[in-house]
Amino acid sequence: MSLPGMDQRSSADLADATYGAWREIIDLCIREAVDFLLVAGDVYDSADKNIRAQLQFKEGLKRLGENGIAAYIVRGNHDPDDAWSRSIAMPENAFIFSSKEPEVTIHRDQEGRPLAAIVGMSFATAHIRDNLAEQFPQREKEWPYTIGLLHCSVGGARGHEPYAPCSIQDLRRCGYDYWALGHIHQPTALDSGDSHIVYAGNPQGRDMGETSERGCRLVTVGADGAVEVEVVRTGKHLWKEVAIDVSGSEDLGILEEEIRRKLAMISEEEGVSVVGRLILTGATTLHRELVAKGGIVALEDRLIEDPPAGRYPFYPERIICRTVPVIDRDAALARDDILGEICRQGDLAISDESGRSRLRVEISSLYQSTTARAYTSELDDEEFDVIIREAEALLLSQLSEGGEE
Amino acid sequence: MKIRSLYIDGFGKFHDWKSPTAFGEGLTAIVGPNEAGKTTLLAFIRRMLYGFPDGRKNLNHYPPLNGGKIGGRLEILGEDGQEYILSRNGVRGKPSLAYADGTTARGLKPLSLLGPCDQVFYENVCAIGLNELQEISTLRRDEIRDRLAAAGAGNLPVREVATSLQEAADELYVARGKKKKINTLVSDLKDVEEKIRDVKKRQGEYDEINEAIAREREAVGLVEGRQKAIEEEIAYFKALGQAWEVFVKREESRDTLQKIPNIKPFPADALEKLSRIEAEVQRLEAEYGERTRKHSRSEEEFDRCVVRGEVLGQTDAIHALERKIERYRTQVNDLKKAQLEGEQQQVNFASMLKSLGGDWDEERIIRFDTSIPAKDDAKQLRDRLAKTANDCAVQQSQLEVAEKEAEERRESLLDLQRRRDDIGDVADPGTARERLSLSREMLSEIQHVQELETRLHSIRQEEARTAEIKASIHSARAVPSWPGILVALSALLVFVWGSLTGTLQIAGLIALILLVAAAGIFLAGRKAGDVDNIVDAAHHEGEGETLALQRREIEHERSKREEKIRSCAASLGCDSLPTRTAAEELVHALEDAVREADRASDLDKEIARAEVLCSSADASLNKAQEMMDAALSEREDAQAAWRRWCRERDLPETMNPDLIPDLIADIRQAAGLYVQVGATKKRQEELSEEIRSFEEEIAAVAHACNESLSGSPDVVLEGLIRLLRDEETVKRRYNALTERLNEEGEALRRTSAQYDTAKASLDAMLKGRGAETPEEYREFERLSRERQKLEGSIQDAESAIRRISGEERYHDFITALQEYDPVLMQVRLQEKESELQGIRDRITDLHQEIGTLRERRSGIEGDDELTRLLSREAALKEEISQVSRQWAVYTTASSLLGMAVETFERERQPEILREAQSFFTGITGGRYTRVVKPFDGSEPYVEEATGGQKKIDELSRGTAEQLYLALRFGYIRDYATSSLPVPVIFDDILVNFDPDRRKNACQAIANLAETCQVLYFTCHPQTVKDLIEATPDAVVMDISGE
Repeated sequence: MSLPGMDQRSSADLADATYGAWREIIDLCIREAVDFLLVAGDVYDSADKNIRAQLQFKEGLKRLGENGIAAYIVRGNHDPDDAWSRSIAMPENAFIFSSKEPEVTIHRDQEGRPLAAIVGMSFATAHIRDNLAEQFPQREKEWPYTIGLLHCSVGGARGHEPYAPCSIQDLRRCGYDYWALGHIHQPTALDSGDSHIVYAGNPQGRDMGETSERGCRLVTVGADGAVEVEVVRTGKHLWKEVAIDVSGSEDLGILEEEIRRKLAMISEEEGVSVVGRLILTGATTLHRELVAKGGIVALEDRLIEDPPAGRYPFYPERIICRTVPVIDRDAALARDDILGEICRQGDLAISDESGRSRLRVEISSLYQSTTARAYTSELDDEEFDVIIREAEALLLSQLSEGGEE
Repeated sequence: MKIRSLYIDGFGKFHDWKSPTAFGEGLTAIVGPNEAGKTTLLAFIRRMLYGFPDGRKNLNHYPPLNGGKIGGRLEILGEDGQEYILSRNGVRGKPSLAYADGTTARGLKPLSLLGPCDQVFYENVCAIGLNELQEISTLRRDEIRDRLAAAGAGNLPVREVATSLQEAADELYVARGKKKKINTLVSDLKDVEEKIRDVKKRQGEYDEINEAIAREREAVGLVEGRQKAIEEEIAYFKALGQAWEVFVKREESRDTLQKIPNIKPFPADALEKLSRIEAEVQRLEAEYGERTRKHSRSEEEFDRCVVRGEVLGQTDAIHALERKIERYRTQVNDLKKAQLEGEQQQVNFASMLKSLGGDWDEERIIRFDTSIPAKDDAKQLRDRLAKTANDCAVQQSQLEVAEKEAEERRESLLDLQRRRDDIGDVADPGTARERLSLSREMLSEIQHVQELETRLHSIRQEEARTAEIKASIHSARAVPSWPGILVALSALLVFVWGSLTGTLQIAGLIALILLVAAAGIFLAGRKAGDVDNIVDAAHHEGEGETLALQRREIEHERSKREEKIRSCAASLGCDSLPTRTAAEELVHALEDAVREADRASDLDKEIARAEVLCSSADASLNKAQEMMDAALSEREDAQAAWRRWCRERDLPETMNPDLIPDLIADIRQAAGLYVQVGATKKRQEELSEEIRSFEEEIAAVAHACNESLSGSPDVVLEGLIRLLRDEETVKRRYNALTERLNEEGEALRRTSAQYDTAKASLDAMLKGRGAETPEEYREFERLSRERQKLEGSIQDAESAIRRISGEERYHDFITALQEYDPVLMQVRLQEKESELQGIRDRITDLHQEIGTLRERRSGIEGDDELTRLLSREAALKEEISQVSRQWAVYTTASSLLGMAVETFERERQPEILREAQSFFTGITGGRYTRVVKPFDGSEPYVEEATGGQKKIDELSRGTAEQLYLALRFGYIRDYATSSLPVPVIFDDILVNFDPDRRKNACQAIANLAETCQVLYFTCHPQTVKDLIEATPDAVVMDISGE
């Protein structure tokens, strides 16, 4: 994702952030001299048909190969078997699990000693709805440290399409030491007890929907079987939502300075370049200025033009203003004048369907226009309520201008 | 609530100011001229109620100008009947609310006294300013209408807000707008999506492209294979073509070969050898002939060579003679020379003798002693003679000189004496001088005396004069000089004191003054000189004395000098006191005398000298005479000696001695010559002898050689020598020839042998090949060669063909060649070539296609645009989402406002209108009775008393103003009745009303004041009057006194 006003290079950097993260992972593997790398699918979005991505992936694997590191890969819903270019051949050190049935492979070290057994299965096509985990074989006695590698949705996985759905029991049943799962972008550890069931997540957030630290898991298995799982950050850019309470602010300049300071602090804390969405909350007399007089836009522009000073850059993705004016709503509601009427109408619209639908009609001109229909979605009731409240606050603050002498 | 009174601690111009009177519960008119502080008071009340605004806001903050802390108190009467005190101090001070007795009213916030009327509302509703009304008159009709409509809703900027919301929304989106934000975003997004589709499409083609490349490559392979095949065929045809010519040649060769007989090959060098041998034979033959000829020639020569032995026998003799021939020749020459010499010498001798004189002969010559001692003797004698003669001469001259000198001396002496005599007796110089000096002295003394007398004379005159003056002097007081001096002295003292005390400047000044004074005094004194007689007198007195003294002195001197003169005169023998003239004459005379004396003395001296000289001259004269005599006698002796010498030698005595050397020399010479002659003769004889012997020798030899003797002996000898040489040469030749003959004979024999050998081998060679002659041999050899050549060419052809065809296909080639047709082959070749070209073009095309495909492929591989486009797509989508939301907010707000206004108007309107209506009737003096706003949303209108209706924009401005006011009043009243009454503030709003209207308006205000407290600020007394008229119990607060 690129941001308005971002300079060319940073924009390009951000756009290629995922490639950067892939390179980071490879560098990490080489640095730590790992035995092998497990890739749990969704390497690239086949919908994009991105040849470059595939080539970059191949490059990375080649580099691992040059350093004697193997790669075990399963395909997921975004990068199923049929979505990879026929013309790009993966290097020899990459083992891609079959999509017909689960495959077992033993990873041996240089002397030929078996170090680990890896069981995996790929997606043949994009929309696999079967429970693939059921097909996985039980662990066999002679298998050394056994790892299951699968792209699936454990227990429904809210927010994601339910591909290869399964339950934790299905996974536990196999008796593997470690399940390296793919599909959920948010790094999650479902089970950290004797057996690890881990979604390593994607190594770099791609938009504001994927905030929080992203990276990969570096797993060290000791000779005594002790398992150490380390989270290693590989994302060079961190997406973050930053809520800032601006209650009591009365001066835009001072507010801006405050915000700058806070952002610089955040990026310093995170220790990485941050792409942040600012959400301003609180009651402030600046409400009208921010919302109706272009204060937010101006603030955005200034933060882009003159980013907060710090070791790591903070790029403001956008600023969302959720402030309310300093108006005692109850008092306003009690009034007998327009202000009171507005509040009453607002309450009415929220509580009464007819009121709301009337308002909806007003705004439907956009949501149903041929222009924007494809790109906008109708607001649901909850969202609409929020909008009604915002509209009300805006009105109140606008009408309360005065007191000038 | 109502305000009772207020106290200002510090606010603007007010300090420690209390309202002069309490505010009325109804209407209070606050009067004061301009600058009295009405607006300040107004502001104070507001700020007390709602707080002081933020110091940063750009308003008038009314800082206390006359001291005190900003703030004060309001005494308030609440609706509950309680009295409260609201105080604020300082800009940031929190307000405090207290009961009248001072206890804090806990839990009660100041604003709660105002009810829900917050500041904004208050400003917009409960306060009416003059500018509002003034603005009405400047508005357009539709604006008026809006205002009026808004008036019904209070003075809130509903219309502006609605407009701004609409604008904001429109900026973001309008259904058909192209430049609106959402519209632009959407179109951008569509572009991006299209680009993405294109890119994806391209990306999707990746595999196809790869496969296409593979296919094309295969195709290329096939076509290349075909190309290769055709190339091979063409090569084959070309090869055949090449081989064809060679093949033809081969066939020809084979035919020719058959015609040639089979002769064994000759060795390569056969011909060469043959030629060589042939040549050899010929050569030898020639050589043989040559040698033979040579030999015979040599023989002839030999025969011709004859040697003269006799000559050779004389070799040594001839050589000996040869050696001596030069000497011979020289001797001959010498002889000749000697002869000549001898002759010459004879002649010389003869002449010599002749020159010497007749009586000189050889004998005498010889006898004569010409030795050196003799010569020396002669010389000596000669010298002596000369010397003596010389001496005589010298002595003679000296004598003469001496005589002369003596003579001279005598003469001069005489002369001197004469002169001396002329002078006579005179005194000696010394005496003369003495007298002279004395006379001079005397003269000077006389002169002095004369001078003294002159002086004496003058002095006497002076004395006389002085005495005269003295007589004429009268005494007068003279101004003494001592004051002046004193003053001057004091000046000096002052100066010194000043310098000592350091006040030099003042002291100097004083000194200067004093000096001036002194000078003045002196000057005065001087001026009084004429009258200063006493001093003069004294002075003259003194002078007289002086003169007398002087006179005496002079007289004394004079007498002394006269004394002296006398003595001088006495010494000189003159008169006792000569006159000056006489003295001068005496002086002159004495001077002359002195001169004379000197002269005489000098002359005496000279005479003495001259006498001395004379005597010396005489002495020398005598001496000279003596010497002369001596010299003469000497000469006599010398001459005698000479004569003797001559006699001894038979020479005349009169002979000149000077001639003797020459004579001797001549004699010697002659003697020499004589000797020489003799010598020469001898030599001649010797030479002749030698010559003769030599010549005899030559003759002998010549005879031995049988040669004739013609010519001079040396010629003969030369001839002999030549002859000898020749014979020697001949001998040598003879020897050489002999040798040669031998050699040649040998060579001849050899050559012959060689020839035989060569010939033999030639014959052998020929026979070996069965040839009779070399030509035949050659012919055979040529044939053999030709044969070989043909065979060779046949083989070459075959190997060429083999090369062309390659070993395996050779026989096929030969077969093919035998059936070969060049013309046909050409045609087929052309066909194949064009086919080949076609294939080549095809390959090029294929490569191009592959190139294009590869380019596309690399484009895809390197394409990073997709990522960026996807990024942008996401960004745009997000942006659209956010902006839509924003638009939704604006639109919702707009709708909400609309709805609220609608409801509000619908519900509240009637009451407000009712109130307003009553006010309106009042203000218009009953002209208008109703204000109507229909529910159906059509235009509001007013009804006249007459029943006519007028739309709002049909009203005159003035009426519109009234209506506005009425509406506002209506609203206020409605508010006051429905909520809480609050003090209402009017800021001189009636100022532009004409008297009638004003009255009516005041009535309306009075009306309002029944419901709530009204504070009317004004500076117009007339307004106050009208207000009081309308509201008799109105309170008037005059603040102008402050």
